[in-house]
Amino acid sequence: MEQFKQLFQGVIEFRIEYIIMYIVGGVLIYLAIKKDYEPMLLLPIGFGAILVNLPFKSIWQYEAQLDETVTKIISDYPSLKEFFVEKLGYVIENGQAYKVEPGVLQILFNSGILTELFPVLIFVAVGAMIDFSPLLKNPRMILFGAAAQFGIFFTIMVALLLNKVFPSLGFDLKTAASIGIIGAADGPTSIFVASKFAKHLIGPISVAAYSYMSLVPIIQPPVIKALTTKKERMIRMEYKDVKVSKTVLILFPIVVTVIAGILAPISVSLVGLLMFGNLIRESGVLERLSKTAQNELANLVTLLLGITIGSTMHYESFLQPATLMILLMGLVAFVFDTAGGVMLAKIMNLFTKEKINPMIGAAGISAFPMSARIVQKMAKKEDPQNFILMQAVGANVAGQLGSIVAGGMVLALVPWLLSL
Amino acid sequence: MDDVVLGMQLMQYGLSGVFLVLILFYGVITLLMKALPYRAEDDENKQSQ
Repeated sequence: MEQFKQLFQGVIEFRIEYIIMYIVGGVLIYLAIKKDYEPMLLLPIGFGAILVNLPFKSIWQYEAQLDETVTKIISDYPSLKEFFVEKLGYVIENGQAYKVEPGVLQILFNSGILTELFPVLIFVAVGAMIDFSPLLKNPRMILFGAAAQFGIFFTIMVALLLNKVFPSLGFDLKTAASIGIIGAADGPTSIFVASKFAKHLIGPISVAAYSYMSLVPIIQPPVIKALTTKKERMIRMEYKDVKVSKTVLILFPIVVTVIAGILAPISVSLVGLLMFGNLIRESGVLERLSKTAQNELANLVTLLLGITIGSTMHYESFLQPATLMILLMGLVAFVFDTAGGVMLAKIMNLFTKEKINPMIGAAGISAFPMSARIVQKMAKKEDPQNFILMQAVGANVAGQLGSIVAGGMVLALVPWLLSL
Repeated sequence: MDDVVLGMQLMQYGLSGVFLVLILFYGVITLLMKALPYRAEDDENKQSQ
């Protein structure tokens, strides 16, 4: 009978929480396929969530094996117990040491996420895709790239205040920072910061970041309408087509890397790899590498990243009140990012002769190029002859720069503040 | 120090830092665009190569 039971271990081990997670994974896959919401990430994340919630999560780790040698060592030297548990992944039960071999997704997680390798490789690809010339032609737009990061810091405050009311959430400064960075509207930045400050929340943070990025067309318009008048939305902006020299396009990523690296050395992985990708693109002599970065590299790393993130969504860590809070706060971050950009434009209009359409501020969010398109669409709706796309694209590109600078700021400031 | 106080400091320094760095980049862009203006001859030379 016991041997028979062993044959159906998976069925015996099955629990209701797995079904909930299959529904969660299924919803993500549905959004990816049917609604075309960031399918490159949401589909692998959804499937990864299903895989890791199969009995014994064998995709994550294999069955524990008794290790008699280590059992003897820790019984003779109890002080070594922590070393074997923390560094070598052993589990100690009733004085016996069990070795747990990592499964394929844990290997990918350890080598790609914990080392921050996957997010920075994605940055190389993103850098190769970015064209900074709309920003270089209209550098004023860079301010909106800064203002649209307001949601990050506002959300950090919300998380910390929520923790005061509900201390069981466990949102300390590092965790709050990892949640707030969803407002960067940049998947790799969110994953990078979360992997440093809140590894256990990478799953919900990534799901929130990518889901809300794809929901920008739904989130932004009501916020913009609430903060602007029809007259403001109809403001026309003159566009002067300035040409940018190739030398400037090549020097820009180099100079930005050096400046950012000096001011915030911890941000070099983010900024440096992004600008490396951009330099490959702009140099004009590395067409093959640029194409590889934009296509093969981006696709391969995205594929592995998605399923690895999904594999962190085991029901024990995902089905917590904190997860729902994170998903809600992601929305708060995006709303206040939009508000921050719009409000800066309105404030600037009090002091400048040349009026800015406040909707441009909303394009300062890093969701490229969706945000710029939304702004143009809204402008055209109010006035069919109003073309502010190029200004919006400039702000959108500035948002990409702003989001990685904000990520670097958070990475540098949080440990410093905690050390005071 | 209380986490909320730290959070306010993070907001203060973080936002200011983002603005300062991007304003610095604004200066860099303006300088680069002024120092290295676009020249039509460069494009013609490239096409003839």
